[in-house]
Amino acid sequence: MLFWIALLPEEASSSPDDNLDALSLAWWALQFTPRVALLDEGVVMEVHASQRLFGGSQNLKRLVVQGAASLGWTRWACGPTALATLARARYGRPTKGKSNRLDELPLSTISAVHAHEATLSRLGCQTLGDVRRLPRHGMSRRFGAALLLALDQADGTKPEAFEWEQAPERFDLRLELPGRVDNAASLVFAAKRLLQPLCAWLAGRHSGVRALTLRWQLDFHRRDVAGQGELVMRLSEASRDINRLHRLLAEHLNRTTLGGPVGDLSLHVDKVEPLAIDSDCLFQEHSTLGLGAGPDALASPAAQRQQRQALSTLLDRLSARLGKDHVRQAVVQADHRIEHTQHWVAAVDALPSSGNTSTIPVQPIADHPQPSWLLPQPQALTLGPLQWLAGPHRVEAGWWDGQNVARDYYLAHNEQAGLLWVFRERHVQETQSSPLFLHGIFS
Amino acid sequence: MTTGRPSRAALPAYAELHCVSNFSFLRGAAHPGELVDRALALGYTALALTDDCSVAGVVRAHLALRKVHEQALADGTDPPDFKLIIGSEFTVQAEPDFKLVVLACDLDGYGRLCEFITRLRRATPGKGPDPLRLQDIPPSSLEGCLILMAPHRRTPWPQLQQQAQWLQSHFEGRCWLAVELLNALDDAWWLRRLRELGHQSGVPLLASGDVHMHVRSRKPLQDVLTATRLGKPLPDCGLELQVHAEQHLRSRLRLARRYPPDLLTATQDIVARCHFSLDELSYEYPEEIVPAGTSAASHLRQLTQEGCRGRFPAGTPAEVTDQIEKELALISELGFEKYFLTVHDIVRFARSKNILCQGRGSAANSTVCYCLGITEIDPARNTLLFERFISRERNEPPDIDVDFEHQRREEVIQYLYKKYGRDRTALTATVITYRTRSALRDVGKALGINAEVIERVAENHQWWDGRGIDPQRLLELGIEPTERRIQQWQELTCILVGFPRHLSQHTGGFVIARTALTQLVPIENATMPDRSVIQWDKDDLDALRMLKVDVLALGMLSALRRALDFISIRRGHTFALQDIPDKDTATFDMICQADTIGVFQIESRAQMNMLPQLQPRTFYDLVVEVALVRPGPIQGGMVKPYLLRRSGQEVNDCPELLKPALARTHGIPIFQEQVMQVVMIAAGFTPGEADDLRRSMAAWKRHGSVDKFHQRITEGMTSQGYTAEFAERIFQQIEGFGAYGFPESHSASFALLVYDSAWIKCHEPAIFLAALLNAQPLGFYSPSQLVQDAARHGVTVLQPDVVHSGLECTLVDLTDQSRQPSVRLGLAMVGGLSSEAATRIVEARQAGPFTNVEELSRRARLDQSDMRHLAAADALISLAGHRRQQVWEASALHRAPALLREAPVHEDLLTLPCAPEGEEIVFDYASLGLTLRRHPLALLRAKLDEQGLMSAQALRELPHGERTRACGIVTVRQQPPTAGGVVFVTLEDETGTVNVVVWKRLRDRQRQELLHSRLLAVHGVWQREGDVCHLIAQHLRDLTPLLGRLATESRDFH
Repeated sequence: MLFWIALLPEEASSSPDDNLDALSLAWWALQFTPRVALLDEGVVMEVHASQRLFGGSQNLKRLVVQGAASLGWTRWACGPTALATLARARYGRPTKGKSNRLDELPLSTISAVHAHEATLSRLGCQTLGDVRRLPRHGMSRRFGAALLLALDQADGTKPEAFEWEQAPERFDLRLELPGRVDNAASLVFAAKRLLQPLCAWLAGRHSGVRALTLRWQLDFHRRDVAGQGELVMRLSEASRDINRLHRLLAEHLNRTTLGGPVGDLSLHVDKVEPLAIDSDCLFQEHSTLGLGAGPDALASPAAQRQQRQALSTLLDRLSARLGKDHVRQAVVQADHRIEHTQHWVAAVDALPSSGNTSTIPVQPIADHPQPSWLLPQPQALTLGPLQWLAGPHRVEAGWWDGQNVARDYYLAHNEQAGLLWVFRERHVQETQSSPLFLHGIFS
Repeated sequence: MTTGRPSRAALPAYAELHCVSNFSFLRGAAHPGELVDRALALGYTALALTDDCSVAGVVRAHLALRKVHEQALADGTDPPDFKLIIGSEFTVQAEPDFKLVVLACDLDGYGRLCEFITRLRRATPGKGPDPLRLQDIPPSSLEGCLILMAPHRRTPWPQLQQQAQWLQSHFEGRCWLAVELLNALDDAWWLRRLRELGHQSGVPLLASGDVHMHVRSRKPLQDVLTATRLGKPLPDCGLELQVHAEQHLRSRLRLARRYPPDLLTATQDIVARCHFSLDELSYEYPEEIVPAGTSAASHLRQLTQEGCRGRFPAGTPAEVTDQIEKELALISELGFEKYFLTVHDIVRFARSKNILCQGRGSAANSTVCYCLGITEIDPARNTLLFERFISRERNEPPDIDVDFEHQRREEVIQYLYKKYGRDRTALTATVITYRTRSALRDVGKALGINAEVIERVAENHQWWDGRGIDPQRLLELGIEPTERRIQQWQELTCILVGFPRHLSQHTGGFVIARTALTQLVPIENATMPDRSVIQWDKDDLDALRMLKVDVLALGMLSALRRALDFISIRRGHTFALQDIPDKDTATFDMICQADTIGVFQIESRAQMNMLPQLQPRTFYDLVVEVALVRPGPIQGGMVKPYLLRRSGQEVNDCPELLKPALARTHGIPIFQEQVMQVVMIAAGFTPGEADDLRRSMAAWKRHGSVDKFHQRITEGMTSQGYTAEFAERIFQQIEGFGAYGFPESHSASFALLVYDSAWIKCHEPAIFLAALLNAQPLGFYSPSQLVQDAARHGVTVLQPDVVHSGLECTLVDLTDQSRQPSVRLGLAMVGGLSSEAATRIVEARQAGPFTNVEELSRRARLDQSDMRHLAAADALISLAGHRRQQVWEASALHRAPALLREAPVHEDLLTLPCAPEGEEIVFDYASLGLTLRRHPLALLRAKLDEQGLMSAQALRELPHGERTRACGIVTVRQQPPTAGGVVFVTLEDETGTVNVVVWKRLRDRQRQELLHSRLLAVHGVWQREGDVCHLIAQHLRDLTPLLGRLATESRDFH
């Protein structure tokens, strides 16, 4: 007798990114049986022949269900036909007073029936059983052959036919980025969306990878720069541990310069190597599941978040030990006040909370000449005599952050000191002029 | 830099020629009037208002200057020698972009400027003007205009030369290069460069300031506007903020230090050549409404007299003739004949198409309008109403709004466009301005204030008192009110309130001109396709005395039209609104019992609560009722005293002098007109000042706009011998009126519709229901509630049925005088059925009755989905038995190939069991939104009884103060802005409705239950005041799951 397992993604998942897409899950499922198919929003697999290999049907079911759950596919059911099994998975677990016998399931659980639900319910049908009790001839005339066929298939009286999924020989997956990515470091996040299916694919093939190629296409670029780029990453030993691959890729990407904003990314693997079971079972949370068969290669959503947080954890810890102000990062800021155009902020504050690290101000510097050396604090000018070259250049800004300035800047020249950036305060009586302050020196 | 301060006279004369106001939205940081006043104070000789591809602000600037002139006249001083120049700035696309300023020299130039703006603004449907390139500007399009070019400093020299050459070759003798020196490092270099450019090209130079604000202290607000425009907080705006505050109207002393004198005096060449004033715009009424060979006056007289004979077939009473003569004389004196003729023409058109319409507004309350058929209020019926007709003193255009059947207003609009042409008529603009809430939000965002805090404060914007927020409230939110940022937030919000935000279209105000409207004002595209809108709003039009006719839509008129048609059939003769008898006791009895579901205006819960207290017995009581239950009188605290005095429980202390104004409302001002009369009588206001007050009340402008009248009114009244206490009371009532004053003239027109619709409901309830259902959507109640109400009044309602129903609801046995007709629901109510399919059914049926479902589908060419919708609505019942059976049959009818379509199909008969009632009700609601079977709650009653939930009927017997619990389907949720956070919920069960009051605290605690329950149980206290009962909620329970598959709908109002 056939033994089907149907898997459905977590309902209304808050972050769909954490769920593996159906095709990738199917590749992953191929490690248990070659009879894996996509059915509507779900993945169905027939594992009758694999039961012995995985230590009995109960053990196999446990492996599949727990492994899938860690990938965000938490709803499941098993049974003798694919359609019936999917219907039960959609309906959910039987609870008290709630049977999951096929005839008692609601109309929405089989897609071919659901399509006619509005009409069927007005005929008085509430369950699949109600539908089956209507005369077959009249049904087929009204609702077409598909509805009856589906009911028969679910019931096991007509055979089901599927096109089994096959993991491709070579891994080639392309990802169109939702927005342009300007720097290589930000590509790391995008690349993870490719590494997940890769690891699923590897798991389905009981394999690991020692070399992979990441390619990207630039959205637009200067004429002297190539329109695409690539990165070949090699490992010392075969692996399908997503965290390891991801960390490695991140390091590689961090040393890469892009020729322009990236719009599209792809991952390619030509060659795989068989990977011994258990060889890369690194994470505690996986080993406790006893998933010797390899889904360990794919981090759970929780582990992915952990990875994402690794850097900030490190910075947090360093900041905590050394004091928040001792771990700092320089930030460029567009501002009319020259002393505000760059500043150091505590690294824990500078680190963006989301993956959005690519917002660099378009034009951070004003288009008039800027002194190359800036005094930490403007100093009263004692030098003399000065030759006035240009000015006044009035700057009034910063009323909103309590560091309001109102100054007239001048470009002045002094025999000994060279070109100077000096100013007078404006908030003085109009008749009397403020003393001069030196703010910067041109090299 | 140490020159002494020279006297003003010694300084070179200056005029600012490049200046934007806040009508360059999110850029300019000053009102047009502020700019004019400041320029005057600084001793400029002129100011050019040059908003971005717009003249939307010029009328306001013009009025500011007019006011200064009037003041000078009043003071006996010389009016200032100062010109307001009308212009506009345009951004020209180049590398980089630069600005072109176009100034109108004369009337002709102004017309061309308006046409130029119109062309850019209308080029592409959708928003915003088209980008402009130099080659797109044919020089002839700007004749009569002067051109200033303000090149960008980063423009490479060759391009600069090209631009200057282009300018000189096209506009020689009327073009300048604007030198804008704003204290930047490269000012001296730039001046040299432009001198060189001018020298080479021959284009003269002049000084200008690219002004964005009247004083430098507006800079923070200007920064906030920039931040709002960019959608970023201020620190992130970086270099896109203006670097300094120099773009204000600078003192001439500063200008003299900044610019060479020749550039300053060059501005005077422009001033000398620009002599256009908006006063020259002579708006002329359209010509074609007067037939050739007659004058407007004699034509109006003739039409009035014709109408008069129709209104008074038995002979015109002498006082009416006198009144007509008086009015015609006044109309003639003010030259408004064509206005009345235009409105008459529109109304005449509507009448000819059998479209019901009714005029309202001050000028509509005249005998002339009554005779012309614009209004139905017989002035003889109540002389008190007609005090404010058009006033000689105010010299404003008359105001007539005309309401039309909402389903047919478009015909009237298209008539206007067709008759006058699209270049002669357009909609009036409405200037959308910042209100407290939106200002708090935008300023808060710019200052980077926590979004949650902004929302909390903005939602409770009643905390705002016009200057700031109660510090206590801020402390409650954990905000330190003295913190710099919070202070800035409040200060800047205060300035931003009242700033224009964008232009929108008025709901129906049409401007019609004698010749091209685009010569008077630019026209933009409206958001609605096929509509266009001018750049001025109705106040601007008033100021320039331009004609505006409000063509508005009113659902009740559609319903009345249908009801009148039905009544005409029933009675066998034409029955018009005039045929509805006056002073019908049965109608007033019904109104007094608040039995008014479906009646115009007085059907809302607040109105229905008022009716038993007010006990309206005359037409004028209805006029009061309409105006009384409105935010104005409620906030002004007029309601209680009015009721007390009316019932004689409180003495009417109205002083003798004020009796003409207030006697008719027991000494309490209820209408806008009364407020005006009171301040004129008691505080010595001139009619013009009183009108000012009315305007500041009518428009929701700056907060505290009535404040400035406080002193004037209280002092005026005390000086005339009124007690300070009385004066204060009157002022508070005026202040409470605030934004929401309702004019008596409107009230009176509405009251007519109230009475008419009530009379129909009272005497022809079935016709009333059919008319309302056919005019949906309108009013306060859903079709389901209207049908239930009619059923309670003994009306039989029949389900939609393909064998009997028309497209709309119809009446069965309409001409049988012995009983009420029944209402047959129309096929249009069948959910999902297209009106084309419904029409085909009705047409096919005319050829003979249908005998079975197949025949129906064949003859009416219905596809399977049509058939399924009909079956789902139970509308095949006469052909195919109960609903399950109908669905079974209907779904068998596949769209067969054309050849087979006539061939019947044979199949064994299947007999399905009848559906239980609950299922029928569920599917009735799903298709029709209502059921004619039992109310769904009747089925749940046993379950509800178990939980001790009482029915509406049982509640009605309870004494005041009893604790109780009720349950019903939520049909209405209402949170009136005046109720301080109270939510009124209406629950419906099989016995009627329960009115629930949810106080703010409970609302905040049980928001989820309140907003999302469809079936709601309420535990609370029963409150009874006379016939008015409420359930004051203390706890809410969501019982929605009990409804199962039943889909219900609530009408939620805010």
